[in-house]
Amino acid sequence: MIDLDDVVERLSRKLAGGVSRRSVLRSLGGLLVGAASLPLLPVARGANNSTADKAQDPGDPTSCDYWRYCAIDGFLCACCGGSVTVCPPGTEPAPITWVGTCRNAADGRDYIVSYNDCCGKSPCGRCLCNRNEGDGPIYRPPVANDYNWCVGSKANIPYHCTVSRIVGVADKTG
Amino acid sequence: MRAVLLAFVLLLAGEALADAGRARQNYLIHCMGCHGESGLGLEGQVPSFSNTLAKISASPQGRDYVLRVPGVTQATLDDRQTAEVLNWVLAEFSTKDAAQRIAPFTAAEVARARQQPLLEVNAARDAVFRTAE
Repeated sequence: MIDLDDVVERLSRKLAGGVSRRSVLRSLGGLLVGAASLPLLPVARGANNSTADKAQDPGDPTSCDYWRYCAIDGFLCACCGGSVTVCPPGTEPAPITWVGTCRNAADGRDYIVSYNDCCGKSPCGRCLCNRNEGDGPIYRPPVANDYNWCVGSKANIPYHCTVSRIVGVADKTG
Repeated sequence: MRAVLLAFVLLLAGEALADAGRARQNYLIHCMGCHGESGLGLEGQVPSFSNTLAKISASPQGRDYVLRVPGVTQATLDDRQTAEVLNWVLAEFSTKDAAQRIAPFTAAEVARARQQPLLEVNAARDAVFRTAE
């Protein structure tokens, strides 16, 4: 009958005799470094702006001059722990938005941009932009950017910052 | 008879000229801010289009209400494009069967409705929904 204890002991001694502690550490270290390198592989890099993407989407998303911000009035979420399109942690986008069209100099097309206020935390205070191109009077709410649209949000009044989502292309005329 | 046929052909041609891409674009620019990309609105604040527009448009009272709400009478679109967006919304956010039971909204209807915008929107809405239930 095979004694399991003997088998394990023999295997352990054989392994200990043939493998040094340094080689174990080296292998383990390689594994850890390899895991840490995975986000650097091309697949992960593809999630960021490549040079080609950047050419189609020119400008600095933390600057008021960035093309998508042509009708913005508020703090840029890209400066507040979020991104151009994603609210920072702890906030949520207001469901009611104002909408404008901005021209992308890279392709000369007009894009429909939805400006969503991110709500639930006190004002971010960084990167205040107020460009107002195409801004309408407050008695035309859907094109007016002076409102705090967090009033319609479940997170309610506290306004934190604003994201700019492209929802379509405005290439159709009358 | 020939005149009637001609009018019918012109009417069909007008419908054919409706541009779904332009209607969607106008929806995104003029309606989406409040009603949302999916037409679901905001509960208790902004009416949903989903399966409700066809339902209330089925009665003359409901159709009149739809044409006279602020979003329609105050839209910064001409009458033809406003009707085009209404028809796109009807088709986009209703079942096919329900949408097909409603006659397409026309520019003439929009023009008439703009002369009589609703003054008491909530009361009119409540009355229309009570009837439609």
